[in-house]
Amino acid sequence: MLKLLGALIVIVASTAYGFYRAMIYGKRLEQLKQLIYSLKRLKTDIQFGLTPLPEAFLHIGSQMSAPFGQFYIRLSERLIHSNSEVSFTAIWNDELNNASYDSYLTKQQYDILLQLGTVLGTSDVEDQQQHLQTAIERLILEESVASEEQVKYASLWRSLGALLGVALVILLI
Amino acid sequence: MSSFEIGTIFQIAGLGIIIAIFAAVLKQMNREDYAHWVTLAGVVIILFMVIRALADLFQEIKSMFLFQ
Repeated sequence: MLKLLGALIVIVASTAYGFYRAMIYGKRLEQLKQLIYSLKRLKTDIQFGLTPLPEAFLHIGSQMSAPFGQFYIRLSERLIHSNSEVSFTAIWNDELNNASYDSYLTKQQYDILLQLGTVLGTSDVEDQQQHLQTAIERLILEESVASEEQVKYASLWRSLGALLGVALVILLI
Repeated sequence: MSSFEIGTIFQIAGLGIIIAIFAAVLKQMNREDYAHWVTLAGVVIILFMVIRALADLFQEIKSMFLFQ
């Protein structure tokens, strides 16, 4: 009886792990889509509204879900309340690092955002447009890769988790 | 003693089936390299189980012919 219970727990746990790994791919795709949309909105705000960055960030962040909505809102708050000794890039990197704990993006996708932080707010409208456009294009590329990976690996992880549990149970019993 | 042997045989059969499904799933997802490794790992695990059973057999034979 106790053995049966243990076996059940092992199978359930590994199946759950498989589903968790499958879920990551979906979440990553969703977050990438949100991020692309937010950068497009930022671009529009800069181009047609000539909105300063803190206000634009607040606009965008209030309409996004966690973790990047939180990221934009906190970024805007810190930009409004910061003294001039801290650079924009430092705040951007710091907040991006905070947001990274709740997000499912990969290292390469972060590097795109980190690079964007080094040029955002340092030049005139047209130059920033170009940098934003580059970042958006690279993120769209990442999105297509992520969607491919989701198709490939999500179902794989789901079945793999359950099978791994059954194999473990057979080995241990 | 005999129940242990039956258990081992079923264990090996079950592992074989699971690993076959494993490899099939991996192959379907175009991960032939991983499929090969999984198959190899399964072979090694089952080989160890068989070796343990064989060691028991040798022990039996030795005690039967009073070699010790």
